Amino acid sequence: MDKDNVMKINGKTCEFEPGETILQVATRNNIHIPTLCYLKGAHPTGACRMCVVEVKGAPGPIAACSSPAAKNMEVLTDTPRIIDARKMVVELLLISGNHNCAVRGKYPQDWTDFQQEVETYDRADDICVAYGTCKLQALAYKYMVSERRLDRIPTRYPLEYDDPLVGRDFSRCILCGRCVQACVDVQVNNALSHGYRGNIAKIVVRGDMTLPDSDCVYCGECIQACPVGSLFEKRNRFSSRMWDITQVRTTCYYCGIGCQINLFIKENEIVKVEGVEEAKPNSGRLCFKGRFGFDFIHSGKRLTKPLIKKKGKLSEASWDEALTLIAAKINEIKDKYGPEALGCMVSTKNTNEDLFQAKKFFNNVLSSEQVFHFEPAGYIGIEYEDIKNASTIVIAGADLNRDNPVAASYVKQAVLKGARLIVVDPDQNELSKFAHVRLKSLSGLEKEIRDGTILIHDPDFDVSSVNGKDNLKIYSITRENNTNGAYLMGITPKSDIDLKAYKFIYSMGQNIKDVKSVDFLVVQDVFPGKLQEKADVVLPAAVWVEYDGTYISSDYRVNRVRKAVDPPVEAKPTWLIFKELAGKMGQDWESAREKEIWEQEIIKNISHLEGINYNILAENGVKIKEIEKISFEKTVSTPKGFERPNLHKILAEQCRDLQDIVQKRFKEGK
Amino acid sequence: MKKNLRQLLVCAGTGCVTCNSFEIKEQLEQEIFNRGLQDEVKVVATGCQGFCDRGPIVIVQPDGIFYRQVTRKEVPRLITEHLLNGKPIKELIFEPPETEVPVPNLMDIGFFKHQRLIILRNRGRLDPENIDEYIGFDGYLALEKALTKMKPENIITEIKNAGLRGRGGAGFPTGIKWELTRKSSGDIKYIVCNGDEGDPGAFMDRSVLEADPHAIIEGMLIGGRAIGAQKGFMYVRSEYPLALKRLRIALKQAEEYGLVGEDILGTGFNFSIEVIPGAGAFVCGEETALLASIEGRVGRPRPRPPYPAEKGLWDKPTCINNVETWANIPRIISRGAEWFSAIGTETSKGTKIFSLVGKINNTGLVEVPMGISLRDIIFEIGGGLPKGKKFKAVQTGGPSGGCIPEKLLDLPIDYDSLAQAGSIMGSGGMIVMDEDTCMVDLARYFLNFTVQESCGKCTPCRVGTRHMVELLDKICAGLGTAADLLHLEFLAKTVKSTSLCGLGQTAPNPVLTTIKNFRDEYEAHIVDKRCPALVCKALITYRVIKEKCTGCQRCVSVCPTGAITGPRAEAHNLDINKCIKCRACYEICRFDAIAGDAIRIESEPGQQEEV
Ligand SMILES: Cc1cc2nc3c(=O)[nH]c(=O)nc-3n(C[C@H](O)[C@H](O)[C@H](O)COP(=O)(O)O)c2cc1C
Ligand code: SF4
Ligand code: SF4
Ligand code: SF4
Ligand code: FES
Repeated sequence: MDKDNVMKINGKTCEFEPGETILQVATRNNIHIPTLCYLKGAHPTGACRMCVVEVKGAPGPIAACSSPAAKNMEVLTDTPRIIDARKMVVELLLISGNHNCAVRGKYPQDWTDFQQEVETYDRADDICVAYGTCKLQALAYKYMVSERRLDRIPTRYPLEYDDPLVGRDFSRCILCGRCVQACVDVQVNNALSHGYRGNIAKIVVRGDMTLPDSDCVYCGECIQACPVGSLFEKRNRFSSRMWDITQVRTTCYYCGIGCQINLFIKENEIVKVEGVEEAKPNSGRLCFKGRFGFDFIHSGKRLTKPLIKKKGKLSEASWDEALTLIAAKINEIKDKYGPEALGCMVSTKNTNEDLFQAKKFFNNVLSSEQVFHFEPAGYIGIEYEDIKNASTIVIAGADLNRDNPVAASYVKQAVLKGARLIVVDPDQNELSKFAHVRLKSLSGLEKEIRDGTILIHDPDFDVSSVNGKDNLKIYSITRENNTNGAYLMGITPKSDIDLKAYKFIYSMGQNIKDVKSVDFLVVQDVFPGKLQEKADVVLPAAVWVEYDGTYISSDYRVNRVRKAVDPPVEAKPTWLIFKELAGKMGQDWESAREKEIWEQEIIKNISHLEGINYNILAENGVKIKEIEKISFEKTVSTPKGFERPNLHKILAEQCRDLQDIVQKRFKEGK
Repeated sequence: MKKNLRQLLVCAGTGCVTCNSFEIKEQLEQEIFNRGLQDEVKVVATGCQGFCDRGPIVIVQPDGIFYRQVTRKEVPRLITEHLLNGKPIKELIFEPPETEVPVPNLMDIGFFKHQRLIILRNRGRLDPENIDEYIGFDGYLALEKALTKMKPENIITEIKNAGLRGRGGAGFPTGIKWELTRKSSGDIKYIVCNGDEGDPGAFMDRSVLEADPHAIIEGMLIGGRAIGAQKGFMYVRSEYPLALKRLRIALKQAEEYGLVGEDILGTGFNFSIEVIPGAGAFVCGEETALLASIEGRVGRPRPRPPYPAEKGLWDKPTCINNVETWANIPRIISRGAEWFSAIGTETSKGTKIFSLVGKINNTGLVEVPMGISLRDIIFEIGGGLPKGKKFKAVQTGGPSGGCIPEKLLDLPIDYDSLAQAGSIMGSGGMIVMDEDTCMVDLARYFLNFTVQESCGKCTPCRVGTRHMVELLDKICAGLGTAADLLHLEFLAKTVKSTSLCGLGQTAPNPVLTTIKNFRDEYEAHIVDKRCPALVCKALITYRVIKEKCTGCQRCVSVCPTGAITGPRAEAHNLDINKCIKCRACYEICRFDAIAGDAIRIESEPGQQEEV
């Protein structure tokens, strides 16, 4: 460490890297400086002036968030002068809107009038949505800003409540600009901006329209960025309070990125989702699916009991009945056609523990190798750091905005910083509006490749023609959350399949069009679906937030998922279904919990995962080393005649409202 | 050859153009042609002469006779009597209001006599739309010198030694700024000329742009060479159409002469300039907001560092200077740092243009050496206050400057002394106030401007200034308390010290300086509920002086609310409950020769309205 790079904060000697701000150095040294507008990962705007500190020799207070640390600088973070200034900032912000939570001073009458006014404004007799989590409120308490020496500024703009998901309460906006940064600098959706000037300033969507008329894609990044109660999710506006909530950290279920999320649970229900700020790979950001797409879990349409086909009709049965029947049928078919006539079509939405159990059941109990999925897979797992540093980014066939929006945000950020973007197959791709070059096919790509070029492709898009080119790194990004996990569990995708070879099929919701030749069909699913009409047994599965486990994301990071709510009635986790089925077939598996399956069996058998126990995965995911060695040699795509699994479609549907809004706009030609 | 023996300089600054000076010019040319004098007399449209409220202005050279308020009627006489018979036209000669003795000669007029023209040296003598005239007055010689005889480092040293400080307000040493930009790493660098000039009442930059556009272009070229930039932007207020037009003409001519563009003067130096009309907001004059605006983004300031010298336009090192700063450059290069630094004070060198407005006899633009006293500017150049009123304060530096009281009038003006007095140089606005000005009301007036112009980004400026206005409203309404005054002062100090950009950092100046220098006036409003200057409506009453009133009923006819009644020829009655204090009766009575002054405005202790 260069001795030149030393400064003092509150008397403590601190080292710093050139370019670091006072705030960064202080934070690293556990010295707290309050902030409101500072948004990690974006350029400091210096808007709120909450972070002022005293710097020896400087004529006045200095904003710590935007001032670089300098050699021999002496910083004092809490002098009386600074406290006074901060108190003033808090006081000004409190009177600038309907902050009806702060401790009030002298006049109870004023308070009542004020509260009544606020109620008319925000059409609710409750206090602000952010009560308890609001950063401004916290600062008001911390600095004991209780007196109202000044009159409140009447709110100029009406509450915006027409949007299906997001409410905008301008009476509480402190104009910190974090939402704009979240939208423009982080997610690069460019929906929000600053409108008007001076004390009539307002956060606007283009031309001061409402959100649904804008470029908003409902990533909700702005809501998460808002330090106060100005932006909120309508559906949980008054349904839950901070103290009703337990938070459960888990991994998003939707795509291969594996965003780290916190589930807000109230009375066995998810009420809200937030991105985990300090975690890779998403650093807090989410897409609209991850943030809003959890209604399906609490849907009344879930499968809750096993069903057995009796006289051509599916009717409710007990687990014991269903599993006994399946075991008997398996024995019968195995005897008649041999083990290879028994097949299992897994869904790569399942946890590693689920998949491992399925594989174990078919391999060890049934002696069948026929466990596979139809999810496209290909080449090397993605490295998000490489997107940040790439000179040129080629997107081939991957509709990142649709399938992996958080990855799209990394790409767009790189473009803002000067990277060249080439989109191959642009017609269906919203990213092409950021592209410098658009190509119809890979054939024109060669001349565009230069030092530091990376190519990201959807596994369905064959890139073998450019594989091995100099200066070109190829990454694939998986659409489903655990395709790479399936691969490590030894379950590979199949791109050619002859259904007639199978007499018994266990489908985890995988849709098969033609099942006439199958003698016995078991469908395990979450929702009723078409295939189930043809099934002999239907088993209700628990999902994602209903039990523990792990996923392996597109960047080969092992992430934990955790039980947050109870499954409905009798739905069971997949791993448990197989454990019980094995029992019915006379094998008693020892591992009785997800943790045991993972720690006693999986990581002991799969060398890439060695040592990665649940303890190590307690917070952040762990990247698997030597990814290259575990990569595919060629891309494998979905075979003809197989649709995406039932649940995948239902998930897409339950985001339909959003997609309608988004896609309608897209079609309108923007 | 007797060619062009005489010159008629017709002012074509915005002020005079508005008073139809172009018509006067055409008429002069016509008359001269009619008499066949076109070879002996030349009419030249010049940049602003600075004496704007006396336009249209015509100066006859080499006689040095100054004519003001020239009308079409007098044009033929000007030719026959003055040009042909050598007798100046008495009616057009300037009479200083303070003496009322005509002063025919330009250089005898106080307004001009005390000025020292460096930046505006060409203002009254050449046609800004003709590059040849600029070149005729040694124009572009400095560029040639800089390109052929000096190394970039030497240019910077010369500017540093000259001690030139930025004229855009903050007074940052120009040479150092250039050096920093030169030393910043990167191949691409930019030069920007800040011609946003958003201070109301300020028009010095406009005048330079209109009078001598080539001087600015030449300055930027020299700067480009010194810094290593190849591209310059001139950001000029879109409300300045004449300046924009002349700039564009000048640029086109300079390009045609090979002075702007590629391989300038055969030296291999390339430099192009683009003119950008401003976005219209005051805050766009702030450098980081201005750069954002050039880049096509919303003009909002951002924190510095990084300073533009490190990361400016499109994150490239950028040197941004004010119009006046650029116009100084060619002079310094041709005449040398020593000559320049001999003018002015220890810390502030050269001259500065001020716009002199308010309660002053000679309003206009003046260029004076740094270090001249406020008293000299106001009483010698400005001719003192009209109607014999008493001087009360002068506000320097535009709406966010401070108010300097009588006792500081002998202050030699430079950046540091003004700062010490709680004010700023700013762009050089100077507003003179007489005894009829209420300082509380004045502070509120200026603050209202900043409230309107704040970009709204940072808390202290957006919310704080607004609350300061509210507190001032309260005090002006006679509802203020001692605690309000304390709070106002504290708020003002906090806004000043914590705001993000110069706008918020200076906005409280009028409040702080008036509280400091005129605290008694605040106290009168708060404690006695009295407005000593008789301005704050809530604290004054109108009264008819019975003994003086002749009962002429003129006030009755102007009163919009019928508050004054009374039969003709008897003392009238004024109903204070109906009176809205519009001042109409007062004004009409005051100028009535017979009654005069029969209506008085009074402010007695404790007289404010019931609320
Ligand atoms: C609110 C605000 C408005 C400003 N307006 C102007 C302006 O109109 N013209 C100008 O030259 N500088 C203006 N400035 C100063 C510029 O930010 C900058 O300091 C100046 O252009 C630098 O040039 P100089 O070094 O030649 O003075 C303004 C600053 C602030 C804070
Ligand atoms: S939801 Fe996302 S896209 Fe929409 S305004 Fe917020 S940040 Fe922007
Ligand atoms: S809506 Fe929230 S995040 Fe956006 S400016 Fe207002 S307070 Fe800040
Ligand atoms: S001081 Fe005023 S003008 Fe400057 S950034 Fe803050 S709000 Fe904007
Ligand atoms: S956190 Fe630094 S100014 Fe807002």
